[in-house]
Amino acid sequence: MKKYWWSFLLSLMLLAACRQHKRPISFYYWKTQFSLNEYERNVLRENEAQTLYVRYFDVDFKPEDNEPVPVSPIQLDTSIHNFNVIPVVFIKNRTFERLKATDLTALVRKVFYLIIQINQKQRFQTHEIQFDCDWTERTRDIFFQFIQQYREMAGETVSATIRLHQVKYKERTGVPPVDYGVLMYYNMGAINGDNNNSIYERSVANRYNSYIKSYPLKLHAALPVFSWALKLRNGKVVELLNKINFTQFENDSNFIRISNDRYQAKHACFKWGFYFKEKDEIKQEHIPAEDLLDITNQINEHSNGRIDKLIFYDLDSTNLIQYEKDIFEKIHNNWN
Amino acid sequence: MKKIFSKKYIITGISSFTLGTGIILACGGDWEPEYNSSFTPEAFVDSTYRPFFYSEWLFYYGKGHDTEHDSRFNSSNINDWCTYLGIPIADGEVSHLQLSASSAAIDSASLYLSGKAKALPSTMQSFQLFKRSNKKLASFISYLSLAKKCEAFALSYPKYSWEYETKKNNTDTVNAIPLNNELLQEFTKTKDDFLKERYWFQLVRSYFFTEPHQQAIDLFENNEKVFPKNELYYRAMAYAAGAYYKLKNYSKANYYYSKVYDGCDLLKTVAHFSFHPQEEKDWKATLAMCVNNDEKATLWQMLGIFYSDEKRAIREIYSLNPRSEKLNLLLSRTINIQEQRYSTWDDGIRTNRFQIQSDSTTKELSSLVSRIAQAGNTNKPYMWQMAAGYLHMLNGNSKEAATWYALAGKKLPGEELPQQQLRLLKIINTIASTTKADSKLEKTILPELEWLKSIQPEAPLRSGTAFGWIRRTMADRYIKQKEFIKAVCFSNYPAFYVDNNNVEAMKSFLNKTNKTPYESLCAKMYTLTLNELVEYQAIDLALQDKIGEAIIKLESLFDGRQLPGNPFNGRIQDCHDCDHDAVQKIKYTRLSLLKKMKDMEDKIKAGNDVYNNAMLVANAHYNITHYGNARAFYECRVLGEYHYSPYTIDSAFRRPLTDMKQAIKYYTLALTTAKTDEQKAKCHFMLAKCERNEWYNKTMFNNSKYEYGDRQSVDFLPWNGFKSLQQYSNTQFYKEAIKECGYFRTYTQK
Repeated sequence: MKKYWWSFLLSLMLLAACRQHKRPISFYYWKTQFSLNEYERNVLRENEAQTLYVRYFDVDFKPEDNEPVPVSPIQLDTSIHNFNVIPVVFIKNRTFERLKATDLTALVRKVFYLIIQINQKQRFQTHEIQFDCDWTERTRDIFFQFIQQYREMAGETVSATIRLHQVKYKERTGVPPVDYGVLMYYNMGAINGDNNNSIYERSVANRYNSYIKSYPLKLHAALPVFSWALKLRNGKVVELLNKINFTQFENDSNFIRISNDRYQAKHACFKWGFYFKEKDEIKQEHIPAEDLLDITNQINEHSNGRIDKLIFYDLDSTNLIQYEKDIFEKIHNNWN
Repeated sequence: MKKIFSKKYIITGISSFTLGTGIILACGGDWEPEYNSSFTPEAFVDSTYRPFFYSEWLFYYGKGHDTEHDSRFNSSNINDWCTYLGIPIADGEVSHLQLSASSAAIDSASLYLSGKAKALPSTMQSFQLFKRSNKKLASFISYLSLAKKCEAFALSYPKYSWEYETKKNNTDTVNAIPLNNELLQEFTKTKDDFLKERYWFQLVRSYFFTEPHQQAIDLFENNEKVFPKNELYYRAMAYAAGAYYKLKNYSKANYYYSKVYDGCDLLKTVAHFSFHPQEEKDWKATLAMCVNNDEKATLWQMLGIFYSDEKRAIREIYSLNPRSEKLNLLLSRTINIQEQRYSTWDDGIRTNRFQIQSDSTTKELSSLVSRIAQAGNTNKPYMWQMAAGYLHMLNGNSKEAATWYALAGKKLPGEELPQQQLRLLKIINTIASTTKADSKLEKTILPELEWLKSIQPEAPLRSGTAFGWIRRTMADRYIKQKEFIKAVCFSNYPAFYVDNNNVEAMKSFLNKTNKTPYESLCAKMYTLTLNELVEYQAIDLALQDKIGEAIIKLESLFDGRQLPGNPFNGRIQDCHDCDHDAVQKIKYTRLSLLKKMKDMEDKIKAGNDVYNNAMLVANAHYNITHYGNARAFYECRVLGEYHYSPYTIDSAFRRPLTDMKQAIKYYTLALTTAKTDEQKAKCHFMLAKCERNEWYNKTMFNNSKYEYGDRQSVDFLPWNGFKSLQQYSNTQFYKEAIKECGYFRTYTQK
């Protein structure tokens, strides 16, 4: 009897362990000042999200500069200590178009030391890094060398964001020498005035889906929980209106609703710091909950269960309030 | 001057959308307009508005980005102090003290002047300034001592951008209370107006950085009436505007920025950068603050330029004051933007070309500009008349355009640029209003073309687009009229040279001694020289294997161009770089190569060592085509240079420069006279290379849609040369070919 008792206990423990072994979700944090509000803290708490991918700074090699420079390094606050932070550095592709091979090592060092400086200010350490770069066939060699040198210098886990076109055309764009990639399952369409959603469109996703299974890299997936609006003038996009509350156009007499996802400026006016000319159109692009569930279905169907982690872009209450509170749980439950 | 709203910049500057696609807003290049433009803002608009002239890619015309945040007032500061102290600017002493000396060094100088230190810092010991010590100097140094302390937080442009702890946070390290107290004390105490204004500015700025912001506003507003409206006044006002912005009083902030924009030329870009109405009510409140129509006109100009709603701004300003000079910038911008619609992509030259064409989107602007031009009540009626004419002309209405130009000509000022602008528009219109290039037109445009030809590229008048259009339009007409010499003089086109009769006719034309004035102009416009034509003929003859004739042509030119590799090499795998790097006992010039080929061809004719000579001549013929190691042989003004792919060769010359005919002829001859299996194997392989190149020519390079490598099907076939080579598998050459040539290896494994 004693023997059975022990095996029963063991089963219970294993079951408990299994239940606890819920695959984690994470978020990107993409602002220049790290400061979470109550809503954002709650989202993290309720979804047991410990890991944050935090944008530390951009790197750009501007036409008027003689060397690459960091753009808007983040200001952290003490609450950063509560999280497992993975710094993300966005490197504008033109940096690698202009960078000479002889200056590569210097750039690696500068990026490395800037991360240390940012961390030191808050007296904490990070042990992993992610590079975000929309590299091309032309820049792949120098970008991959950059990653390689960074790995050797820092001895850290290094990941990179992977765009869908880079998955489909891997023979041309190459596979970066990283520990894992984060598949950006969004921003797949052209940003234009047509009726498609540039953030996610199933028909566009289908052009890429079949290539995910065979991508030779361990993968996480990044899912969009952001929205934006496009300002269209004569049918062409002239400005991206980031993080605006689309419903507020409804109560503004300067605007008229012309379709489900569009308003038109009846009169020229200012709103939220943007200027609208008469007849400018505002097209909303956002990802409703059903699309997010559809994305997880797509990932389930096409990734062969190889996605280890879901990361949401981005942690910002302006975005998150547009969803029911249990959206992340639903997505998680829907994800195989 | 510090940029007031770095945070605003940060918000817009970061990669908000970067985990995805973005919109490319800017790119590098020259600052001069790289787009098609024939309407010169400098002819009409005050030069203080220059940063806001229309620029296609980067907002500020002529500079792209404003990088003078910490330096824009350096020279006027030095100038002001030198005048105050009564010393020359040229000796550089004030400049050193203001820009280079450290805060500690200035403090030491101050102690020296007050007798508390025995010596000056070493860098200042030779300064004449200190040899005639006076009260003004002491005031200057004590002012500078406080100013340097403020600079620790007020100058923000990071000197080394990879340093995380930039000066932006330096307000933390400065004890602001005693500093502000000292500034306030000096401001209150001094009776000297010059110093008083400076201390006032320093204190407003210091309050802006060290807060509370209301203190900066109060100090500015309680004292602004006593100071002259000079640079320093507007600098102080800009900080008060910034303080209002920080307090979210956007309407007042923007009102102040509009006054700064209007009152201080050096701060125009700063005001532009900081002016940012949030909601319509802010904008309306700002308008309501204006005390006169001119202030309102400034606001409308800012809206029109900064938010690209020029037409609305023109209407509003015109209704406030038709004579407002603020309309001029708006008109020049809207015309410069509109004229871009008359650019169409030309695939041949891979750039946009100006084209006159009807465009209905111009109607609204055209009727607005015509209405104002008709009224004739602006401060520069001729500008509106020219603009109205230009818009009509762009749409192909040359008759209406001519009427407007005639009106503009009646009251044109004597200044050179407006005169030149009208002349330019008229010449375009004259040509646009005709359909033939006949003698009447030639007579009319002769002096105009001579004038256009004489304009230097760096001249302010934007004449390049118009001249390019005139040249192409006239060339097209001459081609239709079969006057090919004139056509090629106006606009050089490669197909002209394919017929040697044309080349000979051109040579005769250039040699003609009794040219008419119009012919002389044509010859001047022609871009090639007689020698360049002969050079081309020599190359063409060589490519046709008329080596003897080619030598005669080339000898007349004293051509000494060396070829980078040995043109007699024949490799299994073409490697131009390897050939160019290899040590060469004999360096061939174009002429010495042809002479050597001639010797060899003579030997072939005489039956002397035919295999070897034919093989070498074949290699040389191969190498002087695009596929070979001696492309330098054919590079010239007519055929072009730096062809990195056959697609970059003009279609008129692509065939002769990629033709394998001569190489095949001599490799075949070598094959027929080959004695050993090794020799035969080599000939078959070389012929396979030629066959492959011809296959590329036919399947890929004659189809521009494959230019960017989108051709997905097979990239090689079982060439006849490969098939024949298989019978020589016992040879050393065969083994080497297997080793070096992947295609052949693949073929043999199938």
